[in-house]
Amino acid sequence: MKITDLYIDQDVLDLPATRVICDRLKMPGQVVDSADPVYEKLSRTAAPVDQGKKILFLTRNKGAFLRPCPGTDYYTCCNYTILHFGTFCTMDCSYCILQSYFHPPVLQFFVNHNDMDASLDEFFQQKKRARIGTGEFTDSLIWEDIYPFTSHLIKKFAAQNHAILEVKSKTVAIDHLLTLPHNQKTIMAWSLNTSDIVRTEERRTASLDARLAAAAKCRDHGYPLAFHFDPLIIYPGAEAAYRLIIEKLFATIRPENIVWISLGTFRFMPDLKAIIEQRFDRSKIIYGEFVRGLDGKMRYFKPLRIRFYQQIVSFIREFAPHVTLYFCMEDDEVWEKSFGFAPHQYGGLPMMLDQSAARHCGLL
Amino acid sequence: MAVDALKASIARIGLVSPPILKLQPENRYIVVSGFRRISVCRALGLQKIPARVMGLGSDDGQLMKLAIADNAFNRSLNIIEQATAIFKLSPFLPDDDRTWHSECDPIGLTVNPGLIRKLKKIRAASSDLKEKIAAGKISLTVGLELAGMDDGSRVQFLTIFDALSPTLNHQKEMIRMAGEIACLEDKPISKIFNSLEIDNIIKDPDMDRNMKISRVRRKLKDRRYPEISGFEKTYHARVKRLTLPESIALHPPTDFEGNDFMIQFTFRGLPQFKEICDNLLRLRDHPDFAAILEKSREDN
Ligand code: SF4
Repeated sequence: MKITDLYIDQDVLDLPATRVICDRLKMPGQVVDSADPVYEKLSRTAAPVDQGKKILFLTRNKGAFLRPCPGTDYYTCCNYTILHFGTFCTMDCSYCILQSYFHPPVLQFFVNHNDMDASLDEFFQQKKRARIGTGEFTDSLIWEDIYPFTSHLIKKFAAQNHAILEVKSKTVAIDHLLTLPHNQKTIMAWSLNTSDIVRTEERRTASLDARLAAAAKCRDHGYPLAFHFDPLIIYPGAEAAYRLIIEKLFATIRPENIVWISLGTFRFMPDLKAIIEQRFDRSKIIYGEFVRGLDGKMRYFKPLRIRFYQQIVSFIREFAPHVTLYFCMEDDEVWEKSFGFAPHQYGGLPMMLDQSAARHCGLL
Repeated sequence: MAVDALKASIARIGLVSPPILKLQPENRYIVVSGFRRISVCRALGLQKIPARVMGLGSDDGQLMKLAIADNAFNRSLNIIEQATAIFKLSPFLPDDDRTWHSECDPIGLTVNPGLIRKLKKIRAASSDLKEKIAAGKISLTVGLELAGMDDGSRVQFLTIFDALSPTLNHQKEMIRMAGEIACLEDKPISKIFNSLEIDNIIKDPDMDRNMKISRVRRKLKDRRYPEISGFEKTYHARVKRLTLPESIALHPPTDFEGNDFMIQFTFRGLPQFKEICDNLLRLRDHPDFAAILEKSREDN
C-alpha cells in the first residue's frame, strides 16, 4: 500500500490498530479532529480519485459494522450482509463504482475493532445462518500489508458455526492466511474477468493466472472457494474470451471446491460514465448498449444480456453441471431464460446460497 | 430586465444608463453595448437619446470590458452568458489564470479554473468555430465539444448544424453518438459520417429539415445501438402484423427492461366495445403477440 498522507482521527489515536498501522507505514500521521481537513485536502487536488487512493484516514466507524446489502426491490438480491470495515481501494478498475460512491473517495480504515468484535459476537449469538462479506466498499485484502485484519476475522469466524465470511479480492495477498485455523468458515473468493479486461480495465490488480494460483493454494489449505464473474463485459470477442477463462478456472479448480459462482453484467450509476471517460480515456466499456434499469443504474439492453448470460451459463455448466450459479441483481425473466428456473422455486436466492454454504462450509 | 419592464421603466423615468458607442472614421458610430436599450427607445418613438461615445483610438480590449460590465451590471447574466462574455474577452487576456481572475471579477464575471481551461481550449480552436460561437450560432457547450475534435470531424458537424439547425439537445446527441461510434470503431468521426452517407441526407431535395434531422439521428442510433435498434424494428414489425385498430394501443415496458405490458383502449358504445373484445381475443392466439410478450429477438 503506497500512502503519501496519513491522517488520524483524534478519537482513535490511542487504539491498538492505529499504533500498528503507524509502525508499519513508518509514518507519524497528522492528527485531525474531524474528516474535514482530509476532504479539503482531497478536493483541492486536480485528480481527487487518484489522490484518494494514496491518502489514508484512520477513523472510527460511527455507524453499523454489519449492514444488509443495499439491494433494490425489483432485482433479486442475495441478502448478503456487509461487514463495513473500510472504504475505497488502492487498485484502480475503470468500472469501480467506488469512484463515484464516496464524495470525495478516500481510503478509510475503521480501527475501532472492539466495536466491530462486539457487533460480530452479538450477531453470532443469534445463531442465524448468514453470509457476511468484506468486499463491498473496498477490496477485502488490500489492507493486509498494513494490518492483519482478515487474519483476525478468519479466526473469529472459525470459532462459530452459523455464519460464513466471504473474502473477495483481486489481489493475491493470501500467504499469511494459509495456515490459519479457518474451520472452513471463510470462503476465499476472486473476481474473474477476461485477460483483455484485466489488462485494460483493472489497473494494479493481480493477473488472472496469479488469482487462480492463489485460489489453488487456498484450496490446498482447505479453504472453500467462490468466484465472481462480475462485471461481465460485452465486447467483440467477449464470449470466446470468457470461455477461455472458464476453461482455465476449471483446469485449476474442481467444481466441488467452489461454494458458488456469481454472474453480473456491467451496470453503473449514470454519473460514473463521465468519470470513466475522464480517467480512462481509452476505455470503451461505457459504450455498450445500455438502458436505464429499474434501479436507476445503466444496464445492458435486457435481450442482449440474456443472450450473453445464456452463453456464459452454458460454458460453466459444461464443466460444472452442479455448481451453485447465481445472478447478482437480475429479475425472474433473466433467471428463467438463462437458468430455466426462478429462485423462488428453490426457496429464494438467499436460501439457495445458504444451503450451498451449509454443504461446503459445514454450517449448522 | 425583461424587454417589457425595460420599456416601462424608460417610458416612466427615461434612460438611466446610456448606451456606449464607438466613434468610427467619417463620423460614423458603432454600438458597443446597449442594443436592447436603443431598440426600446426606438419603439417608444424617442428621436434623441444620450450616449457615451468612445474615441477613435479606444482600445478594443477596454471596449469589450466596458460592454460586458455595462451588461453585467444592468441585469444578472446566467452561467452561459457569463461564459460567452468571458470567451469574447479572452482574446484580450494573457495566458496566466490569475490575470483572468483579476480582469473578470471587477466587471461582474465569475471565473473558475475549469471554465478558464475550457475557454482556453476554444481560444486555440479554429477561427470558423470561434466565429460561430461569438455569433451565437453554436452554443458554448457544443463549441467545447467541437473544439476537441480533429479538423475533418469538426467541419462535418459545422456543415450539418449549418444546414439543419438542429436543437441544442439534438446537436449534443449527434455529437455524443458519433463520438462513441468513433471510439468503438477506432475511426475518425468524419469516416463514420462518410460511411453513413450523411451528406446525401443533407442534400436530399425530397426531404424537409425535420425529416433530415430524424434520418441523421436514426442512422446514428442504428449504428451506435445495433441490438436495440434491431429489436425495436422487429417489435414494430410484429405490432404492425397484429393489425390493431387505432382504438387499441399496446405499450411495452420501457426499454423492454421490466415485464409489464399495457394495453390501452378507447371505445364509444357497445358495438365498438365488442369489436375491441374480439380484437383482444384475437391477440390471445396471435403468434406475433406471443413473440412480443416473450421479447424474442428473432422474427418469424
Ligand atoms: S479491486 Fe474492486 S474496489 Fe478495487 S478498484 Fe477494482 S473494483 Fe474497485
